[in-house]
Amino acid sequence: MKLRTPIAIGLACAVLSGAIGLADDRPWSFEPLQPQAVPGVSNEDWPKNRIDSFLLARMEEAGLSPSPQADARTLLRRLHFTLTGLPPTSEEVASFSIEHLPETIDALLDSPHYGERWARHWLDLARYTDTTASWLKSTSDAFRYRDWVVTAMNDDLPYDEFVIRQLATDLLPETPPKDNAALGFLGLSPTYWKELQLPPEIIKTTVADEWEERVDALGRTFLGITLGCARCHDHKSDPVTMQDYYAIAGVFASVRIADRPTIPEAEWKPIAKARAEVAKLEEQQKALKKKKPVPEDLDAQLATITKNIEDIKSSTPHYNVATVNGVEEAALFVKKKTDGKHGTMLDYQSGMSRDLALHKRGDPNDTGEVVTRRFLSAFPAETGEPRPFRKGSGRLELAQALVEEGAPLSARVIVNRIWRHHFGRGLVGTPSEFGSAGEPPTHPELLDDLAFRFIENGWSLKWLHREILSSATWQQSSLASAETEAKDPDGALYSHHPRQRLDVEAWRDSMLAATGEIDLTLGGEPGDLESASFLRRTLYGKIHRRDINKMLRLHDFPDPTAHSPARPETSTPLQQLFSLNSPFVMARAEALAKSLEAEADEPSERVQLAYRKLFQRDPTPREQELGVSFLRDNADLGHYTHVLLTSNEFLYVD
Amino acid sequence: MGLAGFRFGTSSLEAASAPVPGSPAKTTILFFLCGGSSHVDMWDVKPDAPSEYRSHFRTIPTAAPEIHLCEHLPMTARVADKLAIVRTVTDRGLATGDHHAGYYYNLTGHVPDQSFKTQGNDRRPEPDDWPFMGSVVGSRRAPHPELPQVISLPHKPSRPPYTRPGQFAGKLGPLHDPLYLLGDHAEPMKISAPSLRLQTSTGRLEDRKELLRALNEARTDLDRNPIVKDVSAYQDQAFSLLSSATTTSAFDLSEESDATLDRYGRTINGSSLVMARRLAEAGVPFITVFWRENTSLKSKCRSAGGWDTHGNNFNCLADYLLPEFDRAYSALIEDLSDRGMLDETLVMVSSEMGRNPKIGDRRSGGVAGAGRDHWTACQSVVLAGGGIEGGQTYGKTDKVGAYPEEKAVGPEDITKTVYHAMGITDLDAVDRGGRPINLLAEGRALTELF
Repeated sequence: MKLRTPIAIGLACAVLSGAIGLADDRPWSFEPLQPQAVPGVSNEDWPKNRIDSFLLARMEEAGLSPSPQADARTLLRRLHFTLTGLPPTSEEVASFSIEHLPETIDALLDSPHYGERWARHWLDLARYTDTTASWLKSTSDAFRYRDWVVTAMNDDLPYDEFVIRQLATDLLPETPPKDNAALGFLGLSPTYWKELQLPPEIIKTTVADEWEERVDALGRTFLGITLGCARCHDHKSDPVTMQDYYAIAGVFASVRIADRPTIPEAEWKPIAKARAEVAKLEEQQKALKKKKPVPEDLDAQLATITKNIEDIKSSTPHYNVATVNGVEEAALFVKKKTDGKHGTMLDYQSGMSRDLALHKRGDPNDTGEVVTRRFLSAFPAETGEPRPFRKGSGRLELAQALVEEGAPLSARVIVNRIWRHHFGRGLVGTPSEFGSAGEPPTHPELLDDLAFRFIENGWSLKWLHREILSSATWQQSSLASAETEAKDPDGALYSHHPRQRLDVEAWRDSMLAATGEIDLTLGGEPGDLESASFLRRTLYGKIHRRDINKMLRLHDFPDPTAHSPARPETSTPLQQLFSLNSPFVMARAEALAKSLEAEADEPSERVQLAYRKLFQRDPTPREQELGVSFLRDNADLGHYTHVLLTSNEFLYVD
Repeated sequence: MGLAGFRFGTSSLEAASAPVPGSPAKTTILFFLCGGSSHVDMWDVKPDAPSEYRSHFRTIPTAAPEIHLCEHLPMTARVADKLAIVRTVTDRGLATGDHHAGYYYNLTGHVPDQSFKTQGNDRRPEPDDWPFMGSVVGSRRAPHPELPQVISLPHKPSRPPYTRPGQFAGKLGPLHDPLYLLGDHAEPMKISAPSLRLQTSTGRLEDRKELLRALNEARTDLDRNPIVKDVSAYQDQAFSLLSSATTTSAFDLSEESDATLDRYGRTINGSSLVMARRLAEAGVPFITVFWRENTSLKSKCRSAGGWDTHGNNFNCLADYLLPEFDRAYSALIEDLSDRGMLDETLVMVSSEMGRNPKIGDRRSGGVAGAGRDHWTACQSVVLAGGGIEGGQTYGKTDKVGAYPEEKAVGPEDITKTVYHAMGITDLDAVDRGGRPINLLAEGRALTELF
């Protein structure tokens, strides 16, 4: 449980907003998207598409010229890693030539592994976990949300619909009940323990913290703004008022986290009833076992109940049907316990919704005017007023507003996120802060041009990938000339491709791929990353919200208690220690050594084969010599493969 | 494990190690008495208290005229002129009265949040917990060339799933977590570092290090990149850490003379303090010895075998806990002093709480069981070395030792005192969400102790 006082939040916001701007200044990112004119360039031969023109114009202003195109092997590796998070095979590298690049991009976008890779990027934002709090009933269905995201990516579900479905697919007539898995974005939200022995004043704060968590995750994920700041005061630097905050928080006050069926409501009802009966009977059994003195016919009584349970289960069709972590419509009221008892009761009114009274300075026990649920006042609908939320909790209307009135923000934000993953840097350096407290865009016209065309192209993420990957910019070499390096050392002007470090998923997956051990089964229940027999992609390793696996934790995996805008990239001796001394890496080294032994006899052949498997290239004469001489002096092939796995080249993609 | 080496927050290492008045200590050794040690039977004995409160122990004079200690601390009495006893550390009712919150408050200096109240000893350590003071110290010191910055031994309290919160780096990230050395009562001279135990036994590490360096250098284009250079540097560091586990003498107790080992006592807590001294000599900035419970005492003391003496408090203290403590602790102070290391080494004895001055605990059948229950309203913390002026007491408690009467202080003040002694003034950092935070805004260093 995370408890933050409203005061602490207020301070954090104030610090974040600093002295920048005034609340009535509209940040650049709130402005409507306009088509942009392509700037002229002198080197007219270089641009392959509009992206290149925008970037080249800026390079030319700075007296820079772009770096040459990367070689075929480098490009193919880069492409495989960025789209699928897996390396190509050495055979794929051997048969690839640059003229095949367009088809290869298409083929990789069609690969099921594309969805796996890009789903993980989304899950960072969505604070995905496989385990929810112990006080919630369902803890084993989270993977259905993960798999839903993978499928959505693979199907190229238009991004606007992707957003809407995650917030309200259950309210859309056209999506089947199976699609309820999409609700995991909300259904897997962190929950905070509410000790009902405590008075309602305290519990109201806990509940308000949860609402804030939802509003904050929503604002940062979809709009790239920190709505949470407006819980206690009007936003210091963006046109977001406290009224705006409570107008949206009211939506979350009108839903509750609940297991949702994957079959139609009518078929689900009898199952829900049967499950409730079974739960009651199981309680009875438990009570019976504890009963003192022990009833003489205890076994008989237990057996009768067991039989009842079995009867219910067998007579209810689809009793074991899957449920998903979702939300349902129910308004929450925090009340004092009735009948004179101390403590609090949570009164969920099913199917109802509520408007919240503004909490003065964020204090739920000091309320002001009631704010009717609606969208942000900075983004009015065609009527000139913000879109009111009238249907139920307003979830669906909220979701639609995010990608309609909110489109200037939501499109710019997602385009920037995708860009960031391909280039290692965003056009906006603060991917979830597009307000005045964030960094301004380095290439505003390019961002707007891409976002505008992204919407024109049906919010298609695959269109966006193609556009970026087909650019001459993305295809540049990472080896810049000395002059370029001096003028644009960190690549802020895109005059060379950045060398990127593999994230923990791609790193672990490529080790398993190099040894040939990788199990590429798609989807399903998560497995234990600690287990020696778990050889699936890292995406399928179980994420415990409160107890993150050590390997993930060491390698910048984000804390799933909160939205993670971008992973930090830290280099630490501990990571190296993990490489040098973890059972996982050791086991890969052994496996690789075994496969080399099986496939080649001579040390020189083994060295060559190792380079092909790990780096999809042949060793240089120097590397060949080093390898052979090491194997001559130190007979253990496993030590050699281990060194190769820990070498810098294995960790980086050019 | 606490290998520092990356920058965080707004402050750089240079700024962090800016000198403070006087010369800061190089190392802190924290000796943490797991379970809640009885301040009224050790440091703040009240011979004139009414009998339902009074310790069964007499007091004895010490090398410091101001200080009287319990009769079962005779060796400590001889070094009392080096000690400053802070008698008035209180949680001001802000914690829960239980172990978890006591650990967290005393190890981090931060008031335990609401979750400690609602979850009690089920409250797990969480990634956004405030950091352990040792992790803060480790993060602010220039990285040790071959050893971790923060080392805790000889166990990680307590048995999972009841791992005590507050002993990890929390918000600072896993980089600053302590490295644990493990040992137990069965073989007190064997203390090992499991995470540094080489997974493969054959082949020389040095060969692999050389090969790796040569292969990395063969890719000169990669080596030009500054980030990749970092990685290479850390590879070297990781290699030295791994080889240090087997080759450096810091971890090797067998280099100690029999006389020294006897002086500390051949118990796991004694040998842990010897190890702590060796690590201090090797330049590790923060070392914590968590008192290792002796489970054979469990039923006798209605405890987990440590200081949580819910039953039979006086016999458990007099027969087991105090003699082991007295010998080991006094040996550490003497040893540091003899080696001329005391001025540069802050030694702190602390615990998650004190014990109830009123004798009797329902867990051991009330007064007849002669236990003492938890008591978080008052405890003593004992400081020595690191520029602390010895032979003094700080604060005054009431007639029975239940509450501070003069100069009450909180764990945040103690934590700040450690930071002060270590010369750490800059506590600005950035949390993992990118928000600027102050690692400990509350509290005041007790500078008058120096």
